Amino acid sequence: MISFGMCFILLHLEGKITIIKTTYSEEELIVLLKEKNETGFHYLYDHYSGALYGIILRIVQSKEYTEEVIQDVFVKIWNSIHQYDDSKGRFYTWMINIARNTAIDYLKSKGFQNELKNQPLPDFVYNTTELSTTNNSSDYIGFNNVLEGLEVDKQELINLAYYQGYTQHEISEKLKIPLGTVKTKMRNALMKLKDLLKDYQ
Amino acid sequence: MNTKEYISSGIIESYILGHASPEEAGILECVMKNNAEVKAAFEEAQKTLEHLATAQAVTPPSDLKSKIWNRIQQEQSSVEEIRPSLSTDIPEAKDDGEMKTREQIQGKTNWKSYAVAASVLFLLSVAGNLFWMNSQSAVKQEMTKLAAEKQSQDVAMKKMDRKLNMFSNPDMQMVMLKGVEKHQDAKAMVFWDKKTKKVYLNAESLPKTPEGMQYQLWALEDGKPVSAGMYTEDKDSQIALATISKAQAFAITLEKEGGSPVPTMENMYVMGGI
Repeated sequence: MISFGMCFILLHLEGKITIIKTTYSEEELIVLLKEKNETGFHYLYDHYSGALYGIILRIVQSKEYTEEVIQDVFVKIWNSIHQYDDSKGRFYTWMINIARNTAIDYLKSKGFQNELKNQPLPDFVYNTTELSTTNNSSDYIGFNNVLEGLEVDKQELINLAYYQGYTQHEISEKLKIPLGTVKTKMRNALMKLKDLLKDYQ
Repeated sequence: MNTKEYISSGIIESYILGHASPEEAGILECVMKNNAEVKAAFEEAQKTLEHLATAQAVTPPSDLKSKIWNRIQQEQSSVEEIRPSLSTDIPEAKDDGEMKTREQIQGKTNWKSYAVAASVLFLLSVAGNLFWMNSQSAVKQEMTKLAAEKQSQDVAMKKMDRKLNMFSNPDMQMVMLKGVEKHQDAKAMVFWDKKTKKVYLNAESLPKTPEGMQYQLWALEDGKPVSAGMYTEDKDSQIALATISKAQAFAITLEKEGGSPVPTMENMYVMGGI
């Protein structure tokens, strides 16, 4: 924080960004973003765009849609950084949830529009098979790899809750298991996931 | 529910996924502030999903970054463009000085009008107080007048009472003294208590005595005048002037202050026989 503080002072003294740190803590990044600092944007994009892009792609399952959604997501992060409350969660998680919600909302609005147009299936449905068959393309390196290490029921649970925006009630109905069981199963799935992820760190 | 049960209920995961109800979320946020174990579990669960996101990152198209930055800048400049059009009513920066002086003038005029208002209020208050004090003193004067009136009425009432007592006392013998030839309008009344033999006099209607002179009551006992005491107004109908055991008539003469051993016959005012 002290070194950052020094940079901060230098930035102000010279009126322009003259010192570019290579790493910032989340707290430092948040300060930069609140100041609408361009360095903050670059750092944000360079460090989080891949993860957010991956999440959005898994949800909307179309590169075209993903590119639309991720723009909205970064604009939202940029504009609503003052609403971020660290007592309610980590900054990275906050951004992930913005990406998830924006993507799920986007899908719902698309689905709604397609229903109005009386189209039999939205194109992202077709993309699902496309994505699964192009796993070897450089764009999709690592796609699904992690979750595939889980048991099928845990995969399904995480897919429904995390990528498809199912509420726990909807999962309970869809999988025909009690609500309490959905909650504990979800926890177990994430505990298992945590173990799996150790290999990726 | 203990901490472990609470954590393993899956509430933390629900919260992170945005599935927790507002009530559940409120409880968890509160528990986290006070329970390090729950807070740690919350951090862990978040990190797990963050690691998942990192592990499953997909490299975006290379032109995406500049697209997003351009959009952010466009939105900012459009916001800045909207601002001036919204704020046309607000004077521009060069008018700031003028605005300030105007505000100062307004401030001064405000101060002045407050001062004027305060003075007016003060004067009104003073006038009100004077009026009130005046009316108060008038009321006080009226009160003292009434009090004096009441006092004199009380005195009169007491006198009346005393006379009434004398009249109503069955032992009291009343002797009417009538004006003699020189003082035909004069009259007085002697109350003679037959039991105690005490003599009271009611002589209010007699003329005021000159300086150094006093009315003296005489009892005529077997033709001889015997002094029956000196009369003063405070004794009237109240204090016995003398104790007379035997008398056939009473008379009042005007004598020098302190009385005379013999009545001055030419100074007799009233006389009455029993």
